[in-house]
Amino acid sequence: MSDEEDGPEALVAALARALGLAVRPEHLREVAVAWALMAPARTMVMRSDLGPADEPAPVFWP
Amino acid sequence: VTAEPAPTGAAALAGAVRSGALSAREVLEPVLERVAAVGAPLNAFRVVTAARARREAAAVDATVAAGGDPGPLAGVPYGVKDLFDLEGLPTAAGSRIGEEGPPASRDAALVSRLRAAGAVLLGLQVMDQYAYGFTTENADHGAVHNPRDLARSAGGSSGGSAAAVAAGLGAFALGSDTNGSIRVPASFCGVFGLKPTFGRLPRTGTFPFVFDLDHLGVFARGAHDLALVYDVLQGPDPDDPGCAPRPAQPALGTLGQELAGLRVGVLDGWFDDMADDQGRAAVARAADALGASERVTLTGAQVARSAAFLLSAASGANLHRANLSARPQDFDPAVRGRLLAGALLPAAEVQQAQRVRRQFYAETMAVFSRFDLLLAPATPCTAPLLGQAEITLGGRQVPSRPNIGVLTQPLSAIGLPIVAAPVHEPGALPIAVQIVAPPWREDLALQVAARLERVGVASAPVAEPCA
Repeated sequence: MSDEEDGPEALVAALARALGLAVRPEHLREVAVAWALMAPARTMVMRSDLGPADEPAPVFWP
Repeated sequence: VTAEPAPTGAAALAGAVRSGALSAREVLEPVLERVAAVGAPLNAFRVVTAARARREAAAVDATVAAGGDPGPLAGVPYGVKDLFDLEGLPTAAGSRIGEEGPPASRDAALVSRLRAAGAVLLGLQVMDQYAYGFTTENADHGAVHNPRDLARSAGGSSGGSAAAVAAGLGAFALGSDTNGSIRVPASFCGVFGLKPTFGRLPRTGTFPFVFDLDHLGVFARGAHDLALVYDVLQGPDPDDPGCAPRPAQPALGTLGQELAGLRVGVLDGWFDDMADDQGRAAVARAADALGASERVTLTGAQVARSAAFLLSAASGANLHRANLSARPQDFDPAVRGRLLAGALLPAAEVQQAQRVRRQFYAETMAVFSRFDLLLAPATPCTAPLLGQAEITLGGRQVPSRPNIGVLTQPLSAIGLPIVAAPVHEPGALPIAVQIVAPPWREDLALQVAARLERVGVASAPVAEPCA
């Protein structure tokens, strides 16, 4: 496996270890793929201009 | 296929049974034959509860014979997604882990309400594992085939339910919709689907996915049947803390109301950019029929979709964390990777995603001060082939599984009531239009769906998948 291929899997493995989440080595690749798919959504959400950060969480009933 | 399709919808069947023109048993047996003949190649049902169905039909017939009221859905056969509790059976939720679990001690709340109304349960319908998917290609239970084209996906995650209704395997079905799991399969299979307001219907006795995004709802082959079933299902339930303590607001009696003066907007921006030509044409037909010409943009739609995407992964991961650690080999590979990735999301991003929902809700409510209803395509394309890895979205090739719900996710993220109304064009696969109403106005969305049906824009003919 090349360094390039190894990178994302090593990242999710390190994250999982830090969080105490058991991820089997044979599943690291699919987790890395899913993690990469989340990247645009994560960026978009965190860059949203939402105003003051002390607003309460959304109500369940609209 | 030698068996005949169910000849009529829920209202007509119930009327015939209530009047004594047909017995519930006479209604049931041909449907069970059709489930055996057509249901197997479609893979629509995981479990057929024939013995229970015969008991329920016999109880209806006994009530009629005794001169009692058998209920508004007397003798009407239906199925439920594989995440509803049925007394005596484990609730699989599309998983082998669930199949190995203990049997449910009672029926789900909505199944109990349907039984009290005289409906007859046919069985449990195949779904994406843990409702986390849009194609119903389940590693343990197989793929559901679209009855309009067996090579294609029925959509998901309530794919078995939509396929069954499209193929005449029951008059209606119950599904769930967290990110689009009723509206997507309704669009691909060409049937009507109702996702009510968040908190309208109790989820007691169903397997969850994301607590504050999960909705239960209905598939049927017409707006009248949707409303008939929806009215039976309504009512508060203290056992579901997410169910609003609101009285039922019956919709069936409102379907014939005059719609003059209704302000209908066509969603632009994200909902147009992500649509294909057929989806745009379906919305245009609906808009023309309703005299709607004004377009409106919800600028927060894309980020709201992103928020729902992240919240689903994070909440689903939290729900399944113990099994993800203890027996990951028993998860569908298509689900496992996303759940494990969801477990890695930082708390700040999850909290921010919740705040995005709040902001998008405020933006959308402001739009509803100018419009009574909004229209948008339900899916970015018609049904893809089973196993198809990519779809075209906004002119780009993107992975299909995470992107089929791009047009449904922003709207369920803020809990709006929506009817998916299917539009069939000759020689083409169906695609549905989302009729989006303000909170608690399911009646408006159903009225418009009924209107589109009356003028011939929306329809849901029974499919003959093996003909």
